[in-house]
Amino acid sequence: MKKIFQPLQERTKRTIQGSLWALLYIILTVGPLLLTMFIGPSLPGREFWREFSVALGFAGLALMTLQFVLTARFQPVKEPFGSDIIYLFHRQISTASLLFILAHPLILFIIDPSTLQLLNVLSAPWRARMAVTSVIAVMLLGITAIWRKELKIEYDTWRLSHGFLATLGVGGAFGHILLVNHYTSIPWKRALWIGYAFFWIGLLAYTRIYKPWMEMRKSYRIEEVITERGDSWTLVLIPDGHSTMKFQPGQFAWITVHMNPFQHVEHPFSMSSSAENRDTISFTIKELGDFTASVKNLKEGEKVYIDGPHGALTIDRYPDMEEFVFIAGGVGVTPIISILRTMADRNDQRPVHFFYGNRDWESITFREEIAELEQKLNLTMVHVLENPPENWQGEVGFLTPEILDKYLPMERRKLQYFICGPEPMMDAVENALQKLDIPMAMVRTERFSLG
Amino acid sequence: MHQKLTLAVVYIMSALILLIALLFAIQQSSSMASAQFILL
Repeated sequence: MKKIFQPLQERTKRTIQGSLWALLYIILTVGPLLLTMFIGPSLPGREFWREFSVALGFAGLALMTLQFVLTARFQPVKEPFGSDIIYLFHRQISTASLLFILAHPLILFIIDPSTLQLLNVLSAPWRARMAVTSVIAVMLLGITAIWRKELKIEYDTWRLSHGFLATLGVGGAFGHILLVNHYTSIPWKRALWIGYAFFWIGLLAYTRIYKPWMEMRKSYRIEEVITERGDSWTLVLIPDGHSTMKFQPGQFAWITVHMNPFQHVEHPFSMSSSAENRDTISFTIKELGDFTASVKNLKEGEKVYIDGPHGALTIDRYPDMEEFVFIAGGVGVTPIISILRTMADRNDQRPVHFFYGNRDWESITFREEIAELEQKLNLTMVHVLENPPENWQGEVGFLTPEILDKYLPMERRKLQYFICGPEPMMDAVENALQKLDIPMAMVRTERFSLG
Repeated sequence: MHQKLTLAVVYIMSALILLIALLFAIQQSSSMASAQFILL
């Protein structure tokens, strides 16, 4: 009874926490509008469309401000959802926020074309200059976020510009509201929006000053760079005069090399070492882009800064789960190898089914070690190869519903699933699991295309 | 799967914001009495 009841209790707790965060998010978004509606004194009425456009502007700004909360990586906010879902929500709700903000001036231009004159920033008053700056920043923010790859903007450049444009967009909008001074002419309403602005400045100070400063105090040094199969390298890091970061197996961290944390040029990677290893911490990185291609050239002794741990793809969230299924493609194996190494260190003999897709036999990262772990753990391995060697007896092609169906046990709906790998592979596997009638609540993913 | 779920949440929240913006505009552009009538 206990074993069935406990996971449900954990899930219920996270569902309640998540619902409360969602409710607070909605209250903070529409709260200023509701307060204006219910608490006087009321201002002289203006025409419907003007008020509607103002309401959309207020809601858009509140939503945009809250993006700083979503991306600040606060542990209590991430806990019920996981970083994956937080970033997914951030991308989607930001689009809604962008549309609300753009609707504000567009409606005004339509109902009163004379307001178009305010676009001339040379002659326009400061309140309009602030608004134009904000809207241009927000538009650029949306364009560069949605079409970053098509515009061929490097990830590091994009992240820096993303933070700068968001700050400019929100800062400009706050300036605009306070200078227009219509709704903020009433003292408590002015105090409310100044409070929002200070809240936002506090968030900026936390992410831009406090967190980098904490990272500086707990730096690491590269002890070794190990060449792995599949164009991957493992960075073994040793803490610089402090204890190693504690993490749960399967989690990831943002790492900064060559620069200091205040420059905000960081990249997310899963830890590949055992969570029980308190001496060193390892990250295994595949050569995929500009930064990852430079990992093999890193030298012993170089400084590294870590922001973490993050992520919910970990067995430690499910202490009473009796059986797990891991599905990885290519370098998506890194969180899984961390989990397997940790399970071996803990002598955790819970059954594990591991489906591992790769291009060919030679590019299977950690191939030999996984074979050794099969002897130590209750591990069932299923290798799936796109280009198998001659006389290959295993599975060929991609991870299909048929392959999963063939190897998964009958009680498959009760197992906890973890998926990590390239985006198309993860989409395909999620669809395959849906076809096999696996409940969505039992599937946990980690996607690193956070941009 | 999660993408569809978060997208559904975003649609619901956007609809709620639009509804409240609409009520706000109705209330602010008319007298308090009629607005309270609409809200109630």
